[in-house]
Amino acid sequence: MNVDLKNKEYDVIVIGGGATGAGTARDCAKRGLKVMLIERLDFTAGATGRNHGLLHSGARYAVTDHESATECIRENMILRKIAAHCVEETGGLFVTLPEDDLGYQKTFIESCHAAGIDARQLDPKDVIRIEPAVNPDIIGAVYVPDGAIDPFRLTTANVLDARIHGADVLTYHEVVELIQDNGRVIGVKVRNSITGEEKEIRARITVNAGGIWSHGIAQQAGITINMFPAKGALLIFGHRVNNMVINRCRKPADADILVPGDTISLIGTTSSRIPYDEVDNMEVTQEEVDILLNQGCQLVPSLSWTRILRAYAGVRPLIADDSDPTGRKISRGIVCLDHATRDGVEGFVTISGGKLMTYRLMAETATDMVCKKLGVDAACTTAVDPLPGSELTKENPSDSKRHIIDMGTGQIAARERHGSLSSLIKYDSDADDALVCECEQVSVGEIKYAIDTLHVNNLVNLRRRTRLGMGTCQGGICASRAAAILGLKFGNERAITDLKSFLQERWKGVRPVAWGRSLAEAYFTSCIYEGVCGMETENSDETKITSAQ
Amino acid sequence: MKFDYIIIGGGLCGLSAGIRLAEQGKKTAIVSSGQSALHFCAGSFGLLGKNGDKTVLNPLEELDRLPEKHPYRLMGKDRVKRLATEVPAMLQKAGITVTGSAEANHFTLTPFGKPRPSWLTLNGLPTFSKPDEKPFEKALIVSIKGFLESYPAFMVENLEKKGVCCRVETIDLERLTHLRESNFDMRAASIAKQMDRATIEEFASKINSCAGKDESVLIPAVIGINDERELDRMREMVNNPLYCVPTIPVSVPGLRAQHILQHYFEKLGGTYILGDRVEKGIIEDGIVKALVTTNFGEDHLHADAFILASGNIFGEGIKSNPHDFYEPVFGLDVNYSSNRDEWYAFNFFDAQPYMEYGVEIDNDFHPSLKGIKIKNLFVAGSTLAHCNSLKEDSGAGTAILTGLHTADLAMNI
Amino acid sequence: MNYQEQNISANNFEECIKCTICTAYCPVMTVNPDYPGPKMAGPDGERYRLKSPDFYDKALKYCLNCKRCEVSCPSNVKIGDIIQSARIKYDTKPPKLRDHMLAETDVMGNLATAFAPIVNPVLSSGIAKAGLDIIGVDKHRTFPKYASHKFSTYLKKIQPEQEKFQKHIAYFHGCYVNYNNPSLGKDLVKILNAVGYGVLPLSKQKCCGVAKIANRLISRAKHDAEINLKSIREAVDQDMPVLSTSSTCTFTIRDEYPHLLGLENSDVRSNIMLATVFLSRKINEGEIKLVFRNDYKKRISYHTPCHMQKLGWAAYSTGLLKMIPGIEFVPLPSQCCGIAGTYGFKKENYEYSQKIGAELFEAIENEHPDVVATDCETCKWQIEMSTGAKVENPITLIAEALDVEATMRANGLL
Repeated sequence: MNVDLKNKEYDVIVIGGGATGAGTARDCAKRGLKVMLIERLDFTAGATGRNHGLLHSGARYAVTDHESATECIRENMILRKIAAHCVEETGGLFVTLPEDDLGYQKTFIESCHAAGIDARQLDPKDVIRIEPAVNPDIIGAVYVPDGAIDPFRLTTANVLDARIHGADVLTYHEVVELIQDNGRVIGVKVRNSITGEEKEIRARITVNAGGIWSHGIAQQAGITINMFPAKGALLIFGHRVNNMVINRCRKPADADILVPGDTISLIGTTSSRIPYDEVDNMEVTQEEVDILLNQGCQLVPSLSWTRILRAYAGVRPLIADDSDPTGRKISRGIVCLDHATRDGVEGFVTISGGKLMTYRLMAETATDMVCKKLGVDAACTTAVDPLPGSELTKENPSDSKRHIIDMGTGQIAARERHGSLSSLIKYDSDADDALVCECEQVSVGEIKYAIDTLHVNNLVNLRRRTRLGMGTCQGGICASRAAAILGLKFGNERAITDLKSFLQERWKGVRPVAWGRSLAEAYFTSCIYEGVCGMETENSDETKITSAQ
Repeated sequence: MKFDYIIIGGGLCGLSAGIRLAEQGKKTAIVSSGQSALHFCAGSFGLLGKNGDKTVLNPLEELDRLPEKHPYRLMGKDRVKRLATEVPAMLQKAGITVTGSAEANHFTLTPFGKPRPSWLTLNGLPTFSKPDEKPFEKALIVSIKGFLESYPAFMVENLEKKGVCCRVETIDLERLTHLRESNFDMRAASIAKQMDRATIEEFASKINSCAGKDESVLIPAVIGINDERELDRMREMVNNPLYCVPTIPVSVPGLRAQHILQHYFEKLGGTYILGDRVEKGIIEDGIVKALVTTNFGEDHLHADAFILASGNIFGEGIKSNPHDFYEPVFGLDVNYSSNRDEWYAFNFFDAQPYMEYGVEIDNDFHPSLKGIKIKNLFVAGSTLAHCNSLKEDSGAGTAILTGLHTADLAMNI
Repeated sequence: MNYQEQNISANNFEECIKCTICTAYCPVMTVNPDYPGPKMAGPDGERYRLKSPDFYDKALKYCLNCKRCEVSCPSNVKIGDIIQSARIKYDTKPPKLRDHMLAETDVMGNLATAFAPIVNPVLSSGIAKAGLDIIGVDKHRTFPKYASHKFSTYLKKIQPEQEKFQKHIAYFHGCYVNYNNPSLGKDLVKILNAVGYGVLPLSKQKCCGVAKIANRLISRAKHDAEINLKSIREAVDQDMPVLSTSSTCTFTIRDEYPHLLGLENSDVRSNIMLATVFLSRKINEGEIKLVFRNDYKKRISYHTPCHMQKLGWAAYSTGLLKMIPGIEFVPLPSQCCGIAGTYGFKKENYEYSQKIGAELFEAIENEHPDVVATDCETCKWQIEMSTGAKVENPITLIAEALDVEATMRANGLL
């Protein structure tokens, strides 16, 4: 997006293109503020894009954290309405395995009810019928209103709504300096991560919604926020193993949630503290894969033979509780810091803590603080107004059903991804409905739409907007096709380099689980790009010839 | 059922061995569990195109620098040289025209317009002698409307770096409008099947109407799915020099080569059994007694000697799970690391150790089972360990040459 | 931990590594762009259907069930089974009257053989064709002539003399031999008797069900299949192998029963085989010998029916034919003829059906054999209609070329 910054006066700069940042930009823009949203890489590149995609009912927190549980169920109900096209109302189960304490179930149900979560005890025999994937040996089961939520779609929809309400958006711009004047943050200096070009953007208030990177951003203003990066690893299975979320009914532990999300299922997570300097560079270890599989197979035995597509890890941006003088205690729930009162720096707010489920509430909290500081009196409407894409679909199921009849499967898939906005996808030519990504059914038309309107700079962005390359072959077949389309906009040299990084990015996730057919798949991908197309490592060069000659 | 020789695997390696045996009048069967990796062949056969990160110009001279247990080293340089010299004639007899020789690699173009070292190049592809050489002065790169598996723009990008003056034209053909009604059908093989006489004529005349003076015309390799002659006919119709550029698999030249070789093997009296899976081999006292296949069931397949040419992890000649790499038919001894972290290189395009995992053999290409040599079994092609055919660009070479070599060894026992 | 030793999924769909080889071998894709092709209809589509049945594509009905995708798949994915299972599971539209008519081979056959002299001319008449056309049977098709006496009646009649043989086989003659071509059954009796085997009927037999499966009449197919399996088990219990002269019947009973109808048959599966397989094996084992006439001279091509290709047994039938000293054997490329049982009879498929077979027809015309041998009756109708070539079951040709007396002598029966 080209933003002409000259003579632009912003009310708010929001740093961070995760769900919280996008949500804050949306809320601020909807309350009439002039907003600039800045992301150093791509939307959802941090924790937002690296979690379960679970629409928590709050049940998981019910026993240990009443407040979080209450927040969750409230937001859960809101998201079903405002983000219908990002949500799958699957329902969820908390199952008790023979080795677990069935006594916990009673406490669990009571705590759920106390938090306002509609938890219902089920007969294990019925459960096996409604969700055949579950371990048939279970001795107890509880139904809760869990679901699945697509964080990529959710964030994109928030960005789009912010834009609709006048916000400007910059991706691939890193904040390298918080510009201060007299103890007040008056703007930011950003560097374009692609061109290296630097520029200044000014605003009356800057909101730090940088997730785990908030720590480093705040440091630029000499402010210390203690963060505890906690790594969580997950595995993606090749298809939908389960149709309901399956949780283990015990105190939260490793690998006890299996979430169905779009075409796949996800098991997670592990949890381990990592040093701050590792947050940009996380590898899933063999040990983590083993833990996830071992625990996951207890929950759902078929995971033992279901193909695994990839492994990935996210960082939970846990934040220290300011009330604890040792700085070691982790804060629960949402943390919204007014650095004027906390650190004597005006015009700077940090929003952190919380979770994907409460992103909207976090955004509302931050926006409330911004409005108060700016003296703006406007009510929050984000809990009622549907996000772009969610206006029609669920309210009018008969209409969507009618459409399915004359739609190709690729068009149905696109509609599930973009909701009502899928009508903006143009099939001008008879070549536009051809599928680029066959596993996830992404057409030429959908890719062009994403490139034109959804802030796409490269294949990884395109993947997050469309699911391209997220399926069985992990981009083996579609990466070059999509690269050629991107080349039309960004030039072919860049497209070829990007293709290489995309394949590297795919391999990073495949590598921890590369055996059996997934390894064969990776080999086939190598055959296409290295064997057939002649792509090589950086240090290889066709003009270098062996010494023999 | 009883044969003189049975080959497991019906790709380039198995067919080479099978043709060698059938040419000698041996009653030979090939059991193939599905179609082979030859379908992904980009139109050229590499003997040894790269070593390490460097391009090889004289493959035979480079052999000494390969690792000691490399299949070529086990064959010996003289043997490699002699067999390599025989291959073009063998292919010609089957009906496949190739250019090139083992004495010196030449080069051809990849779908991205990069030079690829080649030993033998199939009919229709452009060839040139040095990697930095300009293959043409001026090129007209033809793209087919709606076809996503050729990359004219990337080709321009790489050819222009070499100083070739490039131009792209998109051509549509009557019969392809029909094909584009589907969201899935615009693949090289599907397009190639639409290329009847009239469509080829239409294609040629559309090329003629847009090709400029001195332009070499590059089209995606979608002509001649059954027969090289279709391609020759089209080249006659086009006024300018016409070349095919390989596409993303399934490759039309690869498909054609597979069928021609299979047909030739059958014409020689060979039995080609497709779509059947060898479930296990019965081994007694270091001798393979018989094979059990899915379709023949209790009618075991017997032979005097067997060649295992079942491919690598792509064709399930080698399989893996989180702990092991293994050879699924006989359970032969396989070379691999027991530490999973050592299976992979961090970078996707770096040499991946797993690609060299395969069956260990002795100097006579016999494998072993728990350390015991199997005397009437030979292993050939990409099933073999110590050869990264992707990095070396040696897949076709090892397939054909070890296929011929093991066929000769099998006839001598 | 022994997790992830193998990836096991329904019909192995997760073994697919998206190599797209199957798409190059699908005969339908080339001629009908509405059909998404085996990769998309099979493993790719299955992944989406597991997400939501909304992703069921009704164009899956264009699948011929030829299984050439499975044969070509290097990863052992049961692509054809995935597609047929999806049709059974997700296609909720009830089959048409025409589909019932084509699928109910026993009902039609029983009626028609009883009135064969009337039915045959009527079926080939313009009026009947026009009527059939209205309900969706293509007017170009000619129904095979019905015999006036069912083969099953004949087999019952000769049962006493057949029982006198030392060794026996049970014959699954199927609908075609029973209602249309009893002489093929008689040919088999002639050969087997000459090598010392008596041919006995199964206690009860119904249509194998292939047409009912193709037309999604699953409960009817299952009903018949259970009757067949029961009789087959009885025969196997008496140490009799069950032979058939149709590659499609054999394939259906062996593979489609467990894969599509969910009927366990592993206890008897290996005892069900084509007659050519049985003869070849017995010859290879040295148990029987065939002696052929010296004056039998013919140029014979063999067409590999799709289900024969899938069974992997073409080598048996061609091997037997090649034993006839006077024949010149001409191989044909293994390609679908386009009929696929009842598929080609349907008006909406006729054009595709003929296009699919075009290359094969051309190959046959170029080779101008005296006769094309094939193990499938519907391939026979299609090739005869489309090329004018004479088509026979290999058993008929063997029977023709057989020197019965010499064979009996060679087998110690005279």
